Amino acid sequence: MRNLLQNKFERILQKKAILVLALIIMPLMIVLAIFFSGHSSIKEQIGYLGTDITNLPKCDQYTVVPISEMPKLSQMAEGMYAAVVSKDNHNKYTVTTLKSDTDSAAIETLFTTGQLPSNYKGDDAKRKERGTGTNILGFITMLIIIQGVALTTMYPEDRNLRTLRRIMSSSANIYSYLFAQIIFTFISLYLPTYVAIILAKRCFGAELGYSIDLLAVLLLIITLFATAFAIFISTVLDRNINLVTSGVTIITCVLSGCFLSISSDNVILMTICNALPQKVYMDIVHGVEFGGHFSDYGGELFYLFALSMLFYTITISVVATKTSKGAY
Amino acid sequence: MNFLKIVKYDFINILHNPALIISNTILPVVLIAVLGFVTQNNFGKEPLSAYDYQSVNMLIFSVSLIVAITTSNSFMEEKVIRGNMRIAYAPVSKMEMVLSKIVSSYIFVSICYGMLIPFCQYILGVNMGGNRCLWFALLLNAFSFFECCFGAMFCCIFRSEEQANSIMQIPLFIFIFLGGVLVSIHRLGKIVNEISYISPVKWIVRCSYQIIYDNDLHLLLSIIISLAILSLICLLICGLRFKPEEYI
Repeated sequence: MRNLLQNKFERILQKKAILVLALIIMPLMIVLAIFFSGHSSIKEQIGYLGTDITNLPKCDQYTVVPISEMPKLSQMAEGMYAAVVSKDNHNKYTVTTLKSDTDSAAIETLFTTGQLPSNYKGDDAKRKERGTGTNILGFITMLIIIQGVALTTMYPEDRNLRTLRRIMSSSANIYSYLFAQIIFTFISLYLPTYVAIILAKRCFGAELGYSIDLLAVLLLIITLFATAFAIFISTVLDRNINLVTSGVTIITCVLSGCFLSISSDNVILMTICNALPQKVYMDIVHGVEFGGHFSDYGGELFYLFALSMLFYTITISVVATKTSKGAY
Repeated sequence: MNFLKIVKYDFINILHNPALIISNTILPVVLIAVLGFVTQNNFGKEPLSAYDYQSVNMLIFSVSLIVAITTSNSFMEEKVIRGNMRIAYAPVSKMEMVLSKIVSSYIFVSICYGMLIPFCQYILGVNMGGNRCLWFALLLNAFSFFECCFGAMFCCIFRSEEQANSIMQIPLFIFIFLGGVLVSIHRLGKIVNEISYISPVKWIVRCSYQIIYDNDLHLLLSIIISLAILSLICLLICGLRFKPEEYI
């Protein structure tokens, strides 16, 4: 058992790609994510098309700038202006925007009355309301799940190169091999991520939304889940593991609201979304950021735990069948 | 003649890989549906809806990410390597070997995206510029050839699929991020905005929007030429770094 674990860590030194991925790229992405989430980006711009530019309305969600000609639709799509407002001869304002009707109406109100409707929240305000910590952890969740599978590559590789057969014919058995892999994946997933986050906080004074201790626990939860998932997917699939995981993870993370909160009237779709483990995790993260306690989320925590156990159970049964068939 | 034979077998090899087929056909459609659904509250109906916007973005996204992975898979996947070794023994020049992988995956993705774009426009009814979607398809096609060369280049440099794939994703993600396909980067400040011009994805996105929304083709030719030059550079690096004897 100890030898197996030692073997993993020694071999990783030979694999520069994985090393670079775990120790440089992953922390870098996380620092970037934190940096851009905390970075106060420029407010969305509204272009004003008109001659009387002395008395442009001001508000805390948009900046109004005078422009001389109507931007093209392609420039609007690139996000140059959130909206363009023009005034006709009867002092009536026309709003051209790609945003929703609510936004459009709010912007019109801004120009006619000089301020936005009091209960109006633009995209930026909605994002902020979701919580900085939730936004950062949403992105990190996706990274950790993809990364976990990338760090488990040695296991399918051992299978393909028949190293596993040699290991199994020694005194070690397949289960201690798997256990060593689990510990390895977990450590090399958790430590760099956590260190990167602490560095981001200490060096750049980034706003995280959580205390460091709380973050350690939250990261622990998702890392444990990601490890179980990585072992599961590496056992079930024979080839294209990275490709399949990236596809599945990106789609499920978007649907779980890791990047944007989602809501819909479609009951079936929402049931599916709510059952996704990332969604359950995001619920915990969001709740804890706004003062909740872990004990309030016993059901959610149990769900994640049960799902991880299910992944391990399937893994063990698949491995047991394959071993008895002599597939290795 | 030999070359065509290798291309044919490489192509058949790709067809035997369901994950590659799914990720080049169904995955983009699912991505469009999911992202369109998630962002629909942020968009109005006119002049373009969330689905119109996301379909252009997601097609560019999947070409930039998945096409390169497709090439590296068809080049150095575990099951292909043994075949490659046999070709290395045969009287085939090493450039033919590299080119066959690029050409076969290029043909494959051309077919996939050549069908996907009309499918989105005419069957799903997403706005891709009506009949102008052919110009968009042409642009994406040139881009996917570059991506194929790019993927092959990383295989030649790193000499294993797994390393090539994991390292390749870094520049690709940076290109995608700077291209503003996933998040609008217009508001991250002037510096980020200026840096973003080094990303080919940024230019592809700009040109696509111009073609689709403004019927403006003036960037198209220069972008296709630049992509051709970039592809040649990648091929050159492939030629310099590829050593078939390493298979043995």
